[in-house]
Amino acid sequence: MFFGKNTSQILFLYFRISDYNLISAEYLWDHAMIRGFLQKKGIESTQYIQSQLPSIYELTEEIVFSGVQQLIIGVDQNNLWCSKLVTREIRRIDATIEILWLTASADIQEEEGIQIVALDYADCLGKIQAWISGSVRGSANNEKCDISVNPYSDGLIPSDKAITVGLRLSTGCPTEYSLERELVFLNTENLNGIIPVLDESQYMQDSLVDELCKLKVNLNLKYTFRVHVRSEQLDEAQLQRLVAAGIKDIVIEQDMETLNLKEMLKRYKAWEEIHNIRIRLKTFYPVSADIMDEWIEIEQGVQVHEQAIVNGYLSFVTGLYPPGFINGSVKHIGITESALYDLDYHKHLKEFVGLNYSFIIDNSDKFSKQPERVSEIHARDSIWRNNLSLFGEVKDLLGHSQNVLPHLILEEMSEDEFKYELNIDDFYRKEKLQIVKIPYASDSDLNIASYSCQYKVLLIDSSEDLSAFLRDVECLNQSGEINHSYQIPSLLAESCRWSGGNCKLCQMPRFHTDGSGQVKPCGGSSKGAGSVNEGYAAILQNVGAAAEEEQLIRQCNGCEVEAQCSKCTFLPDFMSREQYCATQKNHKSISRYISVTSVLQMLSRSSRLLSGVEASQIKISSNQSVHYYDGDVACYNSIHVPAQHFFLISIQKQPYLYDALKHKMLKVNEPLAVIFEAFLKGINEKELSDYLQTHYEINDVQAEMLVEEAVQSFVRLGCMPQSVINKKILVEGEHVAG
Amino acid sequence: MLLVEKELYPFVHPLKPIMAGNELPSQIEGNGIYLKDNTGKICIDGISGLWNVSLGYRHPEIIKAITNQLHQLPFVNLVDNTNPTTLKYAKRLLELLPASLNKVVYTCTGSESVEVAIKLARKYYALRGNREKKEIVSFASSYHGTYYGSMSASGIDRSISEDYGPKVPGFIFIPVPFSNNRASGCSIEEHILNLEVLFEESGDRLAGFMMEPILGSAGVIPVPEKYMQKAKALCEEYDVLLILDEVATGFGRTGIMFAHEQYKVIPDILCLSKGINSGYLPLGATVLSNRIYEAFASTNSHIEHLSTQNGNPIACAAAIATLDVIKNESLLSKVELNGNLLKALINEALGKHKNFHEVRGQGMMIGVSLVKSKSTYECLNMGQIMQITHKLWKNGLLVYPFYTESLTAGFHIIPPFVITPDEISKIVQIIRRVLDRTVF
Repeated sequence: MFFGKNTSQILFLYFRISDYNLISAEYLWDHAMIRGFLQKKGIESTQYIQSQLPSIYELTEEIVFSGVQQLIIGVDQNNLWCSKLVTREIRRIDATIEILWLTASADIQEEEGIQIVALDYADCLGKIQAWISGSVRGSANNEKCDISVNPYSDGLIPSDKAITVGLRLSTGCPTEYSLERELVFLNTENLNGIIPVLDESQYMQDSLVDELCKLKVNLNLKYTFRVHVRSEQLDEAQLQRLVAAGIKDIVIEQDMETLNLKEMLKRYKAWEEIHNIRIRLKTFYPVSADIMDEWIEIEQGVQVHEQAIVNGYLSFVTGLYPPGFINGSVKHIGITESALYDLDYHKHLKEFVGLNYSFIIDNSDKFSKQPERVSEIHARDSIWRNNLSLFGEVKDLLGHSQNVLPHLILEEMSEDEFKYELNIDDFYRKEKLQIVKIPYASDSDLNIASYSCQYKVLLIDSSEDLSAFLRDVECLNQSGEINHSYQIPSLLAESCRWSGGNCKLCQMPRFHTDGSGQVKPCGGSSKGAGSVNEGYAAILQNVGAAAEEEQLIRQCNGCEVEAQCSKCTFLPDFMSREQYCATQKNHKSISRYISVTSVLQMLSRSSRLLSGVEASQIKISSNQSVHYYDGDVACYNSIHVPAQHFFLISIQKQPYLYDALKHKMLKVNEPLAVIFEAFLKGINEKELSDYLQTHYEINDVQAEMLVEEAVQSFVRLGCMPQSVINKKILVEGEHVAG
Repeated sequence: MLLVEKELYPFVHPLKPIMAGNELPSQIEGNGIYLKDNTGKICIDGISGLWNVSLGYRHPEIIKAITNQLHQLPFVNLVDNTNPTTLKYAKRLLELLPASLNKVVYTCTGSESVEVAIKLARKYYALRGNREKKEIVSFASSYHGTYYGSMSASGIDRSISEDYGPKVPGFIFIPVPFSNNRASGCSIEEHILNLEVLFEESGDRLAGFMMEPILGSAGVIPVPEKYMQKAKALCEEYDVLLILDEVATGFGRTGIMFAHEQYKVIPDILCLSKGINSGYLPLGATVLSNRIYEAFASTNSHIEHLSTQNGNPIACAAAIATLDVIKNESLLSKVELNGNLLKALINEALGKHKNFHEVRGQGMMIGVSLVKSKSTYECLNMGQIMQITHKLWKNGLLVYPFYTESLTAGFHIIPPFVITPDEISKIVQIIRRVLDRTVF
């Protein structure tokens, strides 16, 4: 448009739907091959990459405003709904952009005038080149020429992406592709892990496997491979050949109607043990869950493919979202059954939601369409999924009506009113994930600790709950101790209300809604911010205005607790703004309590440090409660006070220093713990040196050295700024080091 | 065995970590207000390069002037020679300025212009026998450049420049007469009072008061008229040189040729660069007043300053062409009108946005100020500003972030003068589209 006719920007786009049901815009090996071919013909192009996809509108606008004039979308059965949505939306914004679909799936039909090119290396390169250059009768056959394309070594795909993107052993196309060159390159990049081999099972010939074996031995490869093979191809000899070729992960395409299925599964298990490999099954048809239960291991906790969605769910429950998670669209919507099936409602929602959003289905009135006991499951992509599921039903409903497909998290109520089973998308589980949601004040009656489940959530839904919570806050504040063991693994619903500057209301990553379309941003509050009909921008303005108004009314500006208060706008129904303000002012350590318990929850989930540890064996240091330093502080000095995101935690009398920003835990010795606590209380170096001389019976030189070393350690860790050392040097009149 | 060697990115990008480079967009072509990168992405250059490409890219008049001069003489050694083009431009520049400003020292950059200004101020008083007058007053959030003198004169980023010390001594930093929250903080009168006290206490040691009429890097903060006039009056009373750094504001950027005209004050030293030749080639100038000239002339002194490319004829030819275009296309009035249009449209588009504080500036030097809360005026942090500027880029608009701690945060819009009203609307549409979905 502004630079003459002959320039053209070509963009490749591929939506990868992972095993985990997450969508991202990623590299595709076949796209890289085509781009490399075009590049050698003097035609430049780009691959659109985005791991955290925004809303459909933002995504398509971004693509349109990138200057693209010709767009090639890689389409498969998994991403068809997304590819269609994006195609339609781009055409709506700018009909001059030419779009072509590239697909290996014969089932994908021509769509409203979009040209489709089959991914067949025999002729697709020529067709694409012809389409780009606009020739009507393009060359159907590729020109035979000396073009060599190697996606990784040519820099078309970053080498670290090989583990997710994979590679082909052969293309069978006229262009020269050197498997050896690629493998050598990846080896020099110190790649480690399992690379998926993309060649379809029917093309996994013995000759290819033999070549791979030869290369593995000659090149001493540091990584291994995953291949797909058909079950009828796989016997002991073939298996040995695959193992020799460095294949550690085999996906067997299994016809589950085979007789002797149980025998076959037993054999696969034996192979796994003997050859130290992993075997996964890919099934084209559903199979009885009862038969497969022997094959599928009992899940211990959250599985890898569930983790991202579960983490999101926990953010929804607590209101605490990691900083990088927020990017201008709604991530989680608590929705009622009636709204779930309301197609009109979904039309409005499209503007709000990102491409990886979740519905959390409100089960307060016991969801009427309860999933039946799962009898049939399948593994079309080697993850076991329910054959008939709510997820599938909603997917069909929304897919046909051109809406963005959500993840689904159904909280299924059990006989126990506080206990729920979590159903996540269509993932099959023999044993369901369980969550307990229990009012804070209930402990004395029900003993939260007695519940054995993956997640426990404490609710503050009443004044009694709030009082119980504040008792725990004050206990930690005054004694540095945890009141009850259940506080460690338990999450607090709507923690954002109490966690300092973590209120994300104005970015609205979540909200609740019912059939009326009202948008309720925060849990426990029936106050709405408008209707979905008003649109995303208007709702954002509404919540922003509401937040401003509340802060004006409450006179937050200049308030004594302004820095540590969340300034929650949409308070729970039982609480007035005056009560909230009074609570924050009377319990100034609330936000610190949330930080500390978050650290402990993280430790209990991701490490064994707290395994078997009683609450009474955990101590947290603060300027009010110290456990190692028993001296006084004559005159408060703020120069050496450690940064607020560092915590000294004592677990069974062993002190640890935890950096909440970097999530690093460091075992420290007692003297360092003493010094840390002394600095927390505001001691100056001279006073500290005097104390250490008495406490450890050392002389002044030794004491000063100890302090100096400790300060340098704290500076190195980032616990104190460099200026504490510089200030010391300046004070002593020495030359300032660079 | 095939070996693949990783190539180190070969050069350093200014003000970026030393290893930065590969990830930056590679701009390959420009036309008017548009830039195109090597992926084919076309963006509106909302900041005129680095506030210097005021007539846009590929301007035929400037290209013609450069080409013609290339055929004549590409370089002249100004130590021992002069040159008609270099001479012509100096005359043209002085014609635009008050008669008291009567001599040009050519430089290559804005930083260098400031270096010359500092040297001039100190040497001037030494020549007059007053070697006590060495110190220079500067604003705490000012930016004057990154050479040693200009870096030392800059209030912004002092914690970063500390490690390059020892810096050039003798700078006194004073607060900027500005607050996001006009209702709180010091009033202009209080700032003026403090200035009076400073001059009273230190006037006998002061050689100069250096300021940008509109603090650019700090966040497009105009110096209040009252304050500027008081500063001038105090300079006259205490015999201190008023040094105006118009590197960013000069040559029509604010809708008048030089920002100081609006204040009706005449500086003793004027620092210029950036838009001097629409950024096509490195050029700057430090213009000195007659009193300074007389002090040097009467003692037959020279100014100890030289860069080889000072006054390069090709650069001067481009500068002459720039002045001609500004005049012939009546760009100054367009700059004023379009600048007002831009501000009005931004106010309309963002007025209700939670994070929008105000749009400031004059002519085509605009700053959009963003806050966390309209009641506390707390600024957004740098990370949040970068998120916004990154999204704007993805949507086809280049802007420049600013973050001055505890003072102001937001982004600059400093487009080329050749922008049309339709293109201004497009800029605002992009900003609206991004900010409609981005709230902090």
